[in-house]
Amino acid sequence: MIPTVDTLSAATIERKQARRENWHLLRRRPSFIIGSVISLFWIACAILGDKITPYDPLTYTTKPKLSPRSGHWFGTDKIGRDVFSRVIAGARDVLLVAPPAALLGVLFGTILGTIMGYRRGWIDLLLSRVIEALLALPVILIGLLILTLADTSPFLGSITFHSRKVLVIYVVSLLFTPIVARTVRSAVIGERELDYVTSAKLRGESGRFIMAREILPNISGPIIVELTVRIGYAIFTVSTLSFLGVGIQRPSPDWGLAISDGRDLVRANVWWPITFPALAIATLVIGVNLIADAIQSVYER
Amino acid sequence: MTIDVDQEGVADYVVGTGLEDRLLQGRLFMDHVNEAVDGLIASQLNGRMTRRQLATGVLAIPAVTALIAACGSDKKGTTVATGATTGGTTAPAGADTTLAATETSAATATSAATSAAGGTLRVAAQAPAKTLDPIAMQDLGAYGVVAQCFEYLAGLADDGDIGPGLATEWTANADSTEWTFKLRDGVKWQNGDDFTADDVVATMENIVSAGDKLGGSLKAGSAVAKDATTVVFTLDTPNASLPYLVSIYNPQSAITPKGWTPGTTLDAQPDGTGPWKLTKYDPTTGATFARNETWWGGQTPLDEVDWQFFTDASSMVTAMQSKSVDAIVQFSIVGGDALLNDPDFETIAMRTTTHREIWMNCTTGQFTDKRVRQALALSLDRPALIQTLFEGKADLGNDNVIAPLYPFFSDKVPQRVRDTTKAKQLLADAGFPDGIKATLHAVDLQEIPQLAELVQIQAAEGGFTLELAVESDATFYSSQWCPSSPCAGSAELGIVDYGHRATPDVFLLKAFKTGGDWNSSAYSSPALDAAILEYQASAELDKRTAACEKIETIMTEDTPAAIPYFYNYLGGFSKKFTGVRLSALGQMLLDKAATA
Amino acid sequence: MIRYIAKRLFLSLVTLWLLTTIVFLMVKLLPGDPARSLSGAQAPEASVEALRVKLGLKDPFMSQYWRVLKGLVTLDFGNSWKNQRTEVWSGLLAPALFRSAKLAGLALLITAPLAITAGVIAARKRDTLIDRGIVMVGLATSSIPEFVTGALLAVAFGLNLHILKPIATIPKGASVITQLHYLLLPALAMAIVYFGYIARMMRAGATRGLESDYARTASMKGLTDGQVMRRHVLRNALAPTITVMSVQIGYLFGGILGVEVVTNYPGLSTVILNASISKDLPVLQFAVIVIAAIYMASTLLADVTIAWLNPRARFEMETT
Repeated sequence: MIPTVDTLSAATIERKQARRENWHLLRRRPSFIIGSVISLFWIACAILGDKITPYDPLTYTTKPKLSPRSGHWFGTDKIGRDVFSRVIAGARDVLLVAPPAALLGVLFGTILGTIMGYRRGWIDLLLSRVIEALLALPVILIGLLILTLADTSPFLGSITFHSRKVLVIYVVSLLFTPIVARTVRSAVIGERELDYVTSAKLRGESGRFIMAREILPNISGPIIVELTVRIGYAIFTVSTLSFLGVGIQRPSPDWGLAISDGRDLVRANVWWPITFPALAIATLVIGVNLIADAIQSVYER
Repeated sequence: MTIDVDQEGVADYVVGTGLEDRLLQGRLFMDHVNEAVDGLIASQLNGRMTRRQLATGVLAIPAVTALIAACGSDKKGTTVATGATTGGTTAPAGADTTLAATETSAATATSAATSAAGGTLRVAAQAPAKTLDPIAMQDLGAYGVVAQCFEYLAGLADDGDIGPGLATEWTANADSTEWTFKLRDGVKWQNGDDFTADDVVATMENIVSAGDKLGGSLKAGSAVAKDATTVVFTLDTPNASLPYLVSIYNPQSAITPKGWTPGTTLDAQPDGTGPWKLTKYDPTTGATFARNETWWGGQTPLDEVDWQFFTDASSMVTAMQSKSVDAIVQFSIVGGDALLNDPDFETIAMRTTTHREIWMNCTTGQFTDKRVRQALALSLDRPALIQTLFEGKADLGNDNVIAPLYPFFSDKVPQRVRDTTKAKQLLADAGFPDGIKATLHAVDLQEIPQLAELVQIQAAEGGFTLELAVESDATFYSSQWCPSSPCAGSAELGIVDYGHRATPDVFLLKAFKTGGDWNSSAYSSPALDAAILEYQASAELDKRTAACEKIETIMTEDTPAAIPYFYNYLGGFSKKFTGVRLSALGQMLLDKAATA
Repeated sequence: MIRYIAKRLFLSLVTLWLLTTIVFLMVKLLPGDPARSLSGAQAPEASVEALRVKLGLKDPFMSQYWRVLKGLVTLDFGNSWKNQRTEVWSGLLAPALFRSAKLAGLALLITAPLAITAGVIAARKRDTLIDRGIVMVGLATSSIPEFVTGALLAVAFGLNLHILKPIATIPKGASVITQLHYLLLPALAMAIVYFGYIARMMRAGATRGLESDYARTASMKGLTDGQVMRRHVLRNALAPTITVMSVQIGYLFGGILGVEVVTNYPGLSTVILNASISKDLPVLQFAVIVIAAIYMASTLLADVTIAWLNPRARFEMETT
């Protein structure tokens, strides 16, 4: 059968319809709704930041280590900054870093995985081994390794502040690339023997066209699922790296940083500077994971 | 004369730290004042007395300054007088002066301390950052371990000043260019060899060849063995505080046996003349020491000492609090509150000269104009820094290294106070009407990250827009602070840490003298260099104070670095033990420690 | 089966070689001078140069690489660069591995039975409140980074209630019971994080099992729910759970830096952290290999276990 323009657009329409149907299903899932509310709340905090906080999150306004009270609902931290304001404003940096990192990771991973799965051959063999090798190490460990080694190098060590965030984005996306590539590769391998790919080949389409226009739209489901799952992991990873001192830098009100900073106070029963940022990380990750969960169950239906 | 100095020391301290109320409630305080008046610091710990001042009629003196540890709650807080130190001055008149002399018998001291023999004491300490190379080490973690085995010509006296160590006494000629150290008899190395003057000479040669040269005081051949127990140091320039440079307060001057190759580490070749033998060393977990049965000081009450290493200061406090360890080498007041309120914990608090230098590069970058540097210093709200970071337990700094604790500190130089209007004006005068944008580098150590954050906030009001780069010590020391040797290429603005020194020699010679090893400000001032020489040459207190006034004036005016405070060193141990001594450089001495 | 294992082992060796190469290149290509950072900024250039020669940093690139490969083959990585008297394996990694193993083992021992039970209960009570509760708890616990959990546990149970030891520095010569007492807190922190993953996997597996034809057939034959569960569902549901757990074992050994930092427990990841800060290449390389080897061993073991549990998987395995 020689495919015509009609059959192509029919496939497109079909996909559009499926997408609409999925969206319809998704909207009804309670986990999606709850997850979205939580995530949107933090996104709003990130966008508005210090415009809505009662105090400047970066400046001390009163005595340090005040317990929660009216005026300072979450108390004040080690140097007298308002914890409530910092928790609200703390959403910004992690949301500036984690989702782009996840997005980039999925992008790199998808490109790599598609090529590997479609081309096969020695490239696939070699890259598969490298990916297996990298997956044998915990993500945090590789991230730490790269960031500390980068720290001791004069070139990368001189990168600070905003560009440090860019560095973290790249590193985290790099960490996610292999695992995404593996997922995408197996999805592509599942697709490449299907009729529509064969017919595209017969039609004389280029490999690049087939990968981008034929296969990718058909595996968009797993990719979207992967993306949402990765965003959750990215928040987790970025927070941990900041906690270990190699992620987001001071004086950012970042939650991971705040926890590492306030940890020694807890012993003296000053629990508020770490508890609230901890809850913030937990709620955001849970929110994103709820969305991921809902999307996954819709696509895998 | 001596006595007055002491009393003033006490008074200053009390006022300086605002502890009056608590202290006056405590009976102990009065005890200590009485002792201070007598000029005798009888340590509660072991009853050993230092009568040096009275016995020798020496003037300037360390003073009881520290005394006070009543940092805890009024009810539970306990007080140990462990002196911080100071001094470095010598004789009033006359050619030869004996600086350290009277020595109580070690045997007496030991028997006084021994209430129950045996046992193990566990110490929580920061893991050594690098190897246990006695000459190259740079961190408190290594100092503490090395000081268990190796000893110094001058050791730690009970008042926190220096006292007899491997040398029992030392004298200088009139202009302090020739120093004679009389060595202790009957000292043996752990391998059985006798300790002699040759060992001291060999150590000094090693120190010279490693480039340290005791802050530039020594050269090859400066130290000569006159006989088996006498070493003579001949110096090119007068130095009245040489004993401090060969004391426990200059940890790199540990005496190693002859034949010791520079670069050898303690764990590679466990030896020493000290009370403890290194039995096991694991750089990640800790070190254990067994009693050195042949120690000159007699038998230590404890059988064994177990140093446990921590990479995280916060877990150290947790360990102490949960009684996983019996002593903690250092902790900070923020986060250490819980320990101060612990009824089972004996705090050792020392007023010290430990400080932070906010250096500004004087030769390259935006801080070459001294008005810019003054502007930054004027932006700092020092009392607020001290309150937030140390709950008030620190001395004000005046952007020079002559701490108020030193007896030769001159109070004639006005204290710099916050004035952001003037700061902005100075910036405008220097050609920065719109302020300055810069990166503040800081090492991730103790309170320094918080200090950096506070400096950033305060400097903003003075016209500085600072970005922060808080880095691990490995990165910081190798790429921001003195990245090459001799020191060059430091960042234009950064915060670096300086530990306590009994005299300011090391601070002056290394950090501010032209071409100094640690001169991250790349500062060079002929006037200061001359004043430093004058300081070193002056043996009498009034002359020394006069020299210091010059140093203070020049440094505060030029502001190569902002020095906002000198803070109190905190350490401590469980009340299950007695006799734990601590220098403010992480050297916890356990030769007299015993179970209570 | 044996052929399959042999093939896996061979592939593992390839992976180890690749990892060694990757770490070597990372350290080599990123700028920075290990000899300088080892001797400190203040060390005179002459002694740094001597160290460079001593460590072989001045040798040609390929001969340095060759030395590393030789180390991999002979499993002799020589001595640490930072503490030059310490042999990498016997002095640093073996004790750290042993400590990590104790901790990971305990964590798994706590979390596995709990999580598997929770997963099965959730599957059986699907879409009830109990199910939702378990799913939410699992999601929450696996969403909170372990350093948060560790710090909060230390405060609550270590310092306020005095039930657990907040610092896991085990005294010398401690009995097994004492050791367990010290390890409980970090192990709990790790167990909490992994509870979510395992419970989720188990729930999914058990749900699939319960909905499968053979389960339906079995219950139509008159077997009780419990019997169905034990005889049919569990066996099949365990497979994905075991796979997940095997992956987690690798992570329990190397990915729990937060817990190690909080409780001062010097396991493998602390060793890697310190080695990467000081650019201690031999330690770094060997530690990475040890963690990777654990991961590969545990995944292989998991696959073999699954094959043993499930004949169909065994067949697939032998044919691939």
